[in-house]
Amino acid sequence: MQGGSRRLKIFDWSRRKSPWAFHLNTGSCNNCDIEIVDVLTPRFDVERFGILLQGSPRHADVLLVTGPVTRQVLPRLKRVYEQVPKPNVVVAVGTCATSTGCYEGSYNIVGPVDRVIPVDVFVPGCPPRPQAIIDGVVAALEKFKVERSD
Amino acid sequence: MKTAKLRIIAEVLRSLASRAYTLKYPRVASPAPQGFRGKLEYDIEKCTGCAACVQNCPAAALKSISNGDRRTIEVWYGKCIYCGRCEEVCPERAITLTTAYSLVTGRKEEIKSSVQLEINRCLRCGKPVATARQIDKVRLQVKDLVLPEDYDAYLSSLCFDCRKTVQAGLLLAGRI
Repeated sequence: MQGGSRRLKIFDWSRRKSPWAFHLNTGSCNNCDIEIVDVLTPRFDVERFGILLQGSPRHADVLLVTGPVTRQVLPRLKRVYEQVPKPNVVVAVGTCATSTGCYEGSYNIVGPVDRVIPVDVFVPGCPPRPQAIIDGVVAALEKFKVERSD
Repeated sequence: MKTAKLRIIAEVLRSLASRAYTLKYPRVASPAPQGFRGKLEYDIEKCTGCAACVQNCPAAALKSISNGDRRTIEVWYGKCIYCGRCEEVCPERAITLTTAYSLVTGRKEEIKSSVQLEINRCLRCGKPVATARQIDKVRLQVKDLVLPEDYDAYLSSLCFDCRKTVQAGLLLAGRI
């Protein structure tokens, strides 16, 4: 199937060149969210890499998760992850998403994001600099580089 | 009205001449400003292994593990909140928060850094007392005090419990 393979290659290429992102707060203090919004401002302008913030997880390739997973958000996080079309990448932004940070052992915390859904890249920092978030997303896009035999 | 329009035209001309505001980040490096609290680094020459940083870490990112004749002070950057408390409390000024900020990783367990130090054990019971460097430092601080002749050599190499036992024994024997 020569044509089918070529079509898949175009999909891979377009996914890598213009990944759409969905931003999900799973209980963070809002600091990492502000930095993610920062990344979209003209100062850092991730639209240079074709990254667009989407309003729906069904349109997203990249899931940006901030914050430790709280009990209340746990079913929502699962549902949002199931709605993201596969293949996708998940970037855990911030110390809390990486390891729950200073919220560890709290009664309403389930755990870090990678306890619930598979995470591809961790961006530690409290909050991480916008440059570090750009690094994280660019590193996550490596996962879209699929080797396809013709 | 006229001045307002002139002002707009002046602004347009100015912005035509100016360069883009966007950082060319991945292509051009963008170092953090001085005083930025980034990746924690130990000065292995200065650290005495007193674990003041471990006790004061609000996020419990630092760990002190005494194993065999080694004490390991370990920091996990995945847990660090970069508050700089360890830098403040370190009596030896062995910790600095550098301006390195990009700790992006796929395996979060691997972003760790540690310093290893030798532990002195109690001569009587073999329990770990403190790191060799810590004991050396205390000896240096009390060298001007007048101490009994055999104190420095033997008693200071014992653990807290053994020191009390031995001193009580000396007291009963009437030697102190």
